[in-house]
Amino acid sequence: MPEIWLVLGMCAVILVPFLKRTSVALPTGAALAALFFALAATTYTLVGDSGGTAVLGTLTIDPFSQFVKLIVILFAILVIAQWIITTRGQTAAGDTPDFLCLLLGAALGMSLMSSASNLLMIFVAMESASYPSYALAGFRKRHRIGTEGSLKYVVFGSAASAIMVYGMSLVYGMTGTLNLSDIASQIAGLSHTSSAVTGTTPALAAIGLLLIFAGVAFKLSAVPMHFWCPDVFQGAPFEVTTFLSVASKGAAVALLVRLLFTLGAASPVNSGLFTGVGVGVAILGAATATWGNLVALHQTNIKRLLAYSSISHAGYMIMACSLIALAPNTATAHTAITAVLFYLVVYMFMNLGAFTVGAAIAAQQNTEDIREYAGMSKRSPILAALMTVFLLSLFGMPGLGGFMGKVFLMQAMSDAGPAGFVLIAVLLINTLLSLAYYVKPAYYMYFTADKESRPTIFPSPAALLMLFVCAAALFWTGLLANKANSFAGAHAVLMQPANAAAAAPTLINGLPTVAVPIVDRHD
Amino acid sequence: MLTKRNAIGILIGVELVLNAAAVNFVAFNHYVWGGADGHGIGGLVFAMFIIVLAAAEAAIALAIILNFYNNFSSVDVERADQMKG
Repeated sequence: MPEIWLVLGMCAVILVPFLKRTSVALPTGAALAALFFALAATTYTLVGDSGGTAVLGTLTIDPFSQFVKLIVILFAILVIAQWIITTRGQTAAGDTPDFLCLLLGAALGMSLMSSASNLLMIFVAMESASYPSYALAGFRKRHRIGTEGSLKYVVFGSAASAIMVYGMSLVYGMTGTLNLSDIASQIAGLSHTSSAVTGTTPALAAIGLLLIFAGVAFKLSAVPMHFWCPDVFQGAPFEVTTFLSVASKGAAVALLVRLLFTLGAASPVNSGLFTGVGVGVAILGAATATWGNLVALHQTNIKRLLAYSSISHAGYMIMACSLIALAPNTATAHTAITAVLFYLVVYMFMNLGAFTVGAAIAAQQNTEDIREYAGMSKRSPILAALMTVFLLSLFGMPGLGGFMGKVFLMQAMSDAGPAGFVLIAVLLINTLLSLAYYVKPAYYMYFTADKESRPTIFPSPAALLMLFVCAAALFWTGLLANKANSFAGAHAVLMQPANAAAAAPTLINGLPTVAVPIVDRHD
Repeated sequence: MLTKRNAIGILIGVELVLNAAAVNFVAFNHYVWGGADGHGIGGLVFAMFIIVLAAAEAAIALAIILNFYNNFSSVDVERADQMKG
């Protein structure tokens, strides 16, 4: 349970100012120590495989959830490192503990999202990932753009979560349980016979499920609910943008995978309802990827450009997730989950690299406009070359991790019959579209003369080291992809949900009897 | 929730939807899934969590709205139009 270490870390970071006011090293050290302990706890449970449940059966601990937690916690460490290297100077020393506490809290919520298997836990996990994110997005209090971004985030986010909870209440009303696998088997039964006794109807359950998916789609910034993403990313400080772009979306993808996997596990083969869910998710993913790429074409702010790029990357992953519902309980589903995990790892490194270069340039040249990158290849050749590597990997250049990520996605899709070929076509067209905007910063850096004699950017040695590590990771995943992919494949295993009602008769409404106090009923 | 331009009004709308969900949970628990037939209090527990998290959400949202007011001298969400595209 790495989450325990995150909670302890939050407490430690909050208490540090009582010992030593305005210390930066102390809270940073405490936060990093907590994250490293959490990382060790995660890798420890990775070895001890099998899978099980925790916290009254509301959390499922399986190789898949542990892998996602590994990504989230490792990424939190990398983001803190990025913050120390590039933008720490802009954070007041007195704000450091608050910043770190919020970051740890968000990481905690995202870890829980990856293993939540109960509506109540999904709700709690998503909210505990969201609230710190709202605050982090508006962390620069005197920054007008940042304030605006955080207002939009909290307004859209709370509306989306309220809608999601309403959907959960409908699902609970129709199925009588909060446990995901019980809900799945109940809904599979509902679609055959409408229960006259309780007056439950499949239609209401379907609406409830739709609203739950809408809440997850908000976290994924899938297309009808993506408006917050570019504004929040532009307004937030670089380290927060980096964190949200990977960890928040990764956790939401993990939740989507678990929802689809658990729903699919209970469905009879070729069940109409779940095929419908799969087609819906596939359309959502295709629309998200295409819309993100089209709008990215005319962006000039590096953060907005990468925000729309992250929307389209989320779209690619959603497209792969749809295979889990289209072909439940098959090898195709496993290949798709493997591909998504591999993609997340690659996406983590390329986004971290691109944002770190952006942050280094913004710290010294004070600009986020890619047109201001003119002549960067003359001024800072190493930085320009590294940025080009990250952008080409985001595009999917052969030899880099991003290419192999897309290859594995397509491989999974090709197993899924005609629907898969439509998805492959969408993915290929989108990849071509995305080239047009990924080369834009590189174009300004290499082929535009610097007429205003802008300053040379000297990244610190630590920043360079971090960027080289990211680039090396991309080359490694690009050239030796099979090794990384088999590692991901070994962890693309979700625990087959035991039917909780059958396995443990003590489970009541998805919560065990031990949690039930005596309720005085007067009916 | 959807038609308000005042940020506080939107927040009130969100709280109303959350409370609607909580009432749903309690009602479904009481009239459909409660009782002696072996179901339990899942819906009631969920309603408690909604109340707690709604309070936390209101705290965060009000802090952000206050900060917005400090920067824009207004809580009208139409004023949040610095970023476009």
